[in-house]
Amino acid sequence: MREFAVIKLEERRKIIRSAFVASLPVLAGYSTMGFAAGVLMAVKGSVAYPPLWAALIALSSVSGTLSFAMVPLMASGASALSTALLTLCVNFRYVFYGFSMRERWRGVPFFQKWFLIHSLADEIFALDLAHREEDPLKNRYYCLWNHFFNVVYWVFGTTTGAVVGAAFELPSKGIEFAMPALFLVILTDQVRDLLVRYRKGDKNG
Amino acid sequence: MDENILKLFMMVAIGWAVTFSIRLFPFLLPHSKKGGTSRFTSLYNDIAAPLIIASLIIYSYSDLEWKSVYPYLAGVITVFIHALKRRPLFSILAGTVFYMCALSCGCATQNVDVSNSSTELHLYNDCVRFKNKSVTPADVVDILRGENIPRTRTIHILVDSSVRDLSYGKKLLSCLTKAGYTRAILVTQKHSSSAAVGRPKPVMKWSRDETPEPRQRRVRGF
Repeated sequence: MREFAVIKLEERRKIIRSAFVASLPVLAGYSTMGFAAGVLMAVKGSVAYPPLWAALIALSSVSGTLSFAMVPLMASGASALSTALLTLCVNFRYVFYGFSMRERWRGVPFFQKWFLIHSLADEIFALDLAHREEDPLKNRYYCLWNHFFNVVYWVFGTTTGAVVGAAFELPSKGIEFAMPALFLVILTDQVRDLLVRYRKGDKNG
Repeated sequence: MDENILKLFMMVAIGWAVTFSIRLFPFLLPHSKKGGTSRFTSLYNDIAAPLIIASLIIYSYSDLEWKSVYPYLAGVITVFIHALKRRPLFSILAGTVFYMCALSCGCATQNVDVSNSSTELHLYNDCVRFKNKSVTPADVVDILRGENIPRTRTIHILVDSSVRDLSYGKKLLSCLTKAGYTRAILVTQKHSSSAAVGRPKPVMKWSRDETPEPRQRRVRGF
């Protein structure tokens, strides 16, 4: 992190502030979605200490869809192969985010790059992409803080949901629909993007 | 360490490893001069990715009350709201709340957890099984007493799907009623696809048969 010392303190603060402000809409989404995933884990996960597992899954995968998809797997004690296959199916879209960011994160030190890649989820990627900064060092500084804030939101939301779900008798009947609903939303977005691209293609001839 | 905890750790580790590998993959590829994504990846993005998500939707629906209309209605609501508003959180919430309300109102088939608060007997054409052991109706009462099962306990007699004639079950019911186990009920299986002998599921979807009151349960001849 020493290389960031060349950026003036005032500018660093400004970058952190802008990363925080940009991440605020995600805070609303991540904390609520994470909360739902945590409650689902506590209610349907059939595991002891659900907050611990919810936090572990949230921190290890930083993936909303996987947090939801893990619940029935954990409840049924699925095999390693089925866990791997489902994870691959659920998260394969992340590969395209990497293609978009690989030029931008070229030459980033190992641990920073590891953290950036580890936490490259949907909303975080969108914020990274939306940020226009010419200076690669400042851009990286922004990305690191952006990833950090969003990971904290996600882990906090999931863990809080699991704590509440484990502590209180929430009306949980039917809450498992959150997972297909999430997939439906992703599919709707994919189909819409596809249609928009084809329409543009038609117009361009 | 407990085997279950190890298995859970393994699942989390696999989830992390696969997800990280997916994210890492593009960074491992050599940098091309042309840049951009290959034709294969764009083709995948266009066709395979929606197909995979569609298959996941089908998979996740299998955990729902998919024989009723409500999960599909909730799905339509989710998609409709998302197509209009483009707010994932709001649309997910709307669909889920609708589905939860539909279940709470008793619109869909209810799951009866027969594993915890009740005692299970499995009724087949030629035998009754208790804890995977074949027993006669006359022995059942002694076994229940031996297990210190209180007479106030609900006893589910889970009728196998192959059973057509319920007279054997009624005989068992009568024996239990005479012995004071008045909360015994015959439960027919409707939803479980494989209630194989000796492999009962921990939580199965059963629907309660119309159960007569204890007095009416007495069948002539027994």
